[in-house]
Amino acid sequence: GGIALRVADSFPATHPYSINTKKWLDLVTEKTNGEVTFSYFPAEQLAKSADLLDAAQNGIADIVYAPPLYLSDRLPLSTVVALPLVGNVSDQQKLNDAFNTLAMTMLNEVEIEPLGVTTIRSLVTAPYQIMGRKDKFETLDQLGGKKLRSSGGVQERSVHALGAVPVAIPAPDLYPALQRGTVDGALFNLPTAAGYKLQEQLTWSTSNVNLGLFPVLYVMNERKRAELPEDILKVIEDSSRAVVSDVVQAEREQIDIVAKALEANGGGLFEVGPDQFAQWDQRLTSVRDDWTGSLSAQGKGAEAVLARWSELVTV
Amino acid sequence: MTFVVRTLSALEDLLGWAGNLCLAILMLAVTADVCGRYFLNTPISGVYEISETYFMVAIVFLGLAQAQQRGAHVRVMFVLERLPGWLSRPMEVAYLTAAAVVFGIITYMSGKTGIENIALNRWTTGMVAIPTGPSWLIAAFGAGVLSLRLAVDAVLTASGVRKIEGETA
Amino acid sequence: MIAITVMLLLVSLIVLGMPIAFALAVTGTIGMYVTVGFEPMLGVLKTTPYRTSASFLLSTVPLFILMAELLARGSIVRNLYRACYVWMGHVRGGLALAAIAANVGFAVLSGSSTAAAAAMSRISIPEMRRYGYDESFALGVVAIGGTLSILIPPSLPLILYGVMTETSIGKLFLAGILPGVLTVAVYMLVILIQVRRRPEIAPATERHDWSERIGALPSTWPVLMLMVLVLGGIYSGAITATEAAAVGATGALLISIAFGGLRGQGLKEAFSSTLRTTSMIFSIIIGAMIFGYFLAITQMPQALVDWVGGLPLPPGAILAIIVLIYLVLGFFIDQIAIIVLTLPLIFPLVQSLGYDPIWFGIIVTKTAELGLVTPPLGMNVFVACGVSGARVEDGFRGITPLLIGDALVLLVLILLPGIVTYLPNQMF
Ligand code: NA
Ligand code: NA
Repeated sequence: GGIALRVADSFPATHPYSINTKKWLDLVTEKTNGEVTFSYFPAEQLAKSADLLDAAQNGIADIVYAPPLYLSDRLPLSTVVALPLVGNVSDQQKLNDAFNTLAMTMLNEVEIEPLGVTTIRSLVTAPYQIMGRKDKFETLDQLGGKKLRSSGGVQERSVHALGAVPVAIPAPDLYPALQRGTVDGALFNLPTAAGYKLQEQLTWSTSNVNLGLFPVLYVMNERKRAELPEDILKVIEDSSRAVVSDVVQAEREQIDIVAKALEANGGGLFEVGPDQFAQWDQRLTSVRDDWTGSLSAQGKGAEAVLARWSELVTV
Repeated sequence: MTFVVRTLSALEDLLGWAGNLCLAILMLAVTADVCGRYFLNTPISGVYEISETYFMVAIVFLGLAQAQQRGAHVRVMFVLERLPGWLSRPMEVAYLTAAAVVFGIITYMSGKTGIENIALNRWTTGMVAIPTGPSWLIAAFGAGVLSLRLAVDAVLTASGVRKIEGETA
Repeated sequence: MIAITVMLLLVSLIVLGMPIAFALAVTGTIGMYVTVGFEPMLGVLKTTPYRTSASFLLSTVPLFILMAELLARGSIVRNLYRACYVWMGHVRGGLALAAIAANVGFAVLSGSSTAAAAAMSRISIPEMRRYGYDESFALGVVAIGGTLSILIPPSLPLILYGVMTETSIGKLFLAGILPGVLTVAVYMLVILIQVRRRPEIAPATERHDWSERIGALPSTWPVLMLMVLVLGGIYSGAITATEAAAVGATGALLISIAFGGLRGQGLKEAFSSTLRTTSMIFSIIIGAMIFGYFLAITQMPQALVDWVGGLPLPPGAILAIIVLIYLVLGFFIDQIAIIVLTLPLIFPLVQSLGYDPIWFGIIVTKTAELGLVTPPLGMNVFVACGVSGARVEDGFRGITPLLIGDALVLLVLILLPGIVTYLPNQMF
């Protein structure tokens, strides 16, 4: 018989990532002439985000989405892409390609394969931006003391470094929190904000700042992977890279939706000027240094990973 | 057996006190965070993560054994209480044993994860870094005392010392 | 086939008196072992209990229970009910009506029906008992009253629905208001009909004169102050819906010590009781999660939905079957899990039939409300009974008339979609 694999992630079935993942799986089935088939379980059907990695390790699923930012205790080095203002690449396809290279080589080697799983697909979101409920955050002065929702980890440090006040709020509470002014804005990426309908409660958003990317890894149980023929593995990995352009396009459309909604609210997307940029970068240096410092103190080779990532996203 | 039951009760009381303390701290910490944010514009960093990773885990798991001991678990007694003792007692023993096995596995798996996380020095990477291992050990401890309580209740029920809830004592 | 067998096993064990939390966990574990094997089963038992507990969002459950415990241990709640009784005592069923009204207040605060049911049953069931109300009637009122929390905004299921289907959460919130009002009216009507037909369930009482009425008011101000604090906090943006529970509990602690005569022993009992109730409720949630993962892996819900989508029937009939499926799944599965499992398949189907997404969100939420109180897995009934130490079978008996009323509301919302869509269409 053929090869049947269980794939699990946590994205709602209508999310661009789960649509794209479905496309990836269909492509693999097509290219292997039906030799490989999948049952796909999106939306935390088999495990919560933070448990999906375990689900691959113990065979509940064969391929899972492992979100490094929710697994920062187990995948700390993979959170390197969440560091602010690294490199100068802004093209979404190129950022995806760069992260794929990093994940499939260095990250696999230093921290993913030791967990009994291997990366076979990766994605990164559009860069995180600063979004204002009413405010247009163009300068550090305007950011000073403003309450911004951030989802912990490196992002929280970035908000703090910029002089704003990081506020931790569960994702489902964010919409009402913006509605009532519990926070003045949020650190978020534009396509995901569209998923949460945040544009209904926002006026302005930066468009040219890279306050980090949200890394997405799909990893496969190592024993299962060892059972698969090389040519099939190659089809799985190549097909994943082949469908990335679709998700980049889908995200572009979502960014347009947000842009139009903000304009309708009397605001819009805007670019932070070059002089401000330099000042922001200076403030954010400490975030990058803290990240390498604290991980290196734990004996994890963080400098090398950051150096490699910078190299991959600098042209 | 009396010694086991006494020790277990003492352990449950201790866990209960620890759980109460965590509940009080959770309440005060979140309130202080809100006040700090609203009045002083300085929320307390780490409250969210520590509440989630430690206080909630402690509140749920440390109360488990007491909930069983005090018969707090919800069940449908309509049929069971109408059955004769020679039938209902073995059923109750089977229920308790099955639950003891499941929570025994939960204890073992959580404990293993906790020790692993401590051995591998796993911390989160927020502004306030938190170790994840000890919180799994809290879960293991709470689940462990519950499975012990379930096992003891099974023995006491089999020997006729413990009455099934609703059964006239 | 395995799915059906294990579901039957679950129902049998529940009926035969196995504690519900254990029945769910044990059958879910067995199901996992049979479908995917030993190691995956161990994996589910490792992560599910821990991750279900380690949730900031669910901290509302212990904290709202604590708030209720603190208020109920001192004289605060007793005074409040005394005032209700003095004002409404001449209306038969007045305290039951007051419990529904209080649930509306809670629904505006919280988006979690479990927290609402736990807190309100701690507060109102002992008081209704004190005034001689029938046990199962009181349980029914409180268990179903708690479901208002997910229909009246803010609401967790509506937020989840909005995120999953990319419909506007703001519109969904607005759409929940009129159906919420209609539901409240129907609950009150059902209560009035019941007490008229069976006067013994809510004992006849006396009419108090105006001096007594006015005299009872001052004792209620601490609890009114707490409500103003928490509601004001939420609507001014000072606190989020999740944090409201902690602020409410702290406020309840302060006013109960200052004005309610709450002291050492009562305080200790309030915390201990909260801890036990929380563990009891989470045991059920954890069991339901384990069972839910098992059902997901069998792909039974998906197969069911796929089958419906392929039926050669007119849109109205398909919609009727979809609603029935939601009700049947609601017998067995946690409401959030149902939305996650079925919506990806059902939603495109409903859209292709030409129905309004906002309207459908309210219909799904309304079926979720019904699922919370239908056997064998009726979370709100379990919570109300567990908290008040009552019998589950009494709870399910008391819920029946109200459930019929609720089902009629669902039917009305399906036949007259304007009730749902009027407000969102006005505002946007
Ligand atoms: Na609500
Ligand atoms: Na149900």
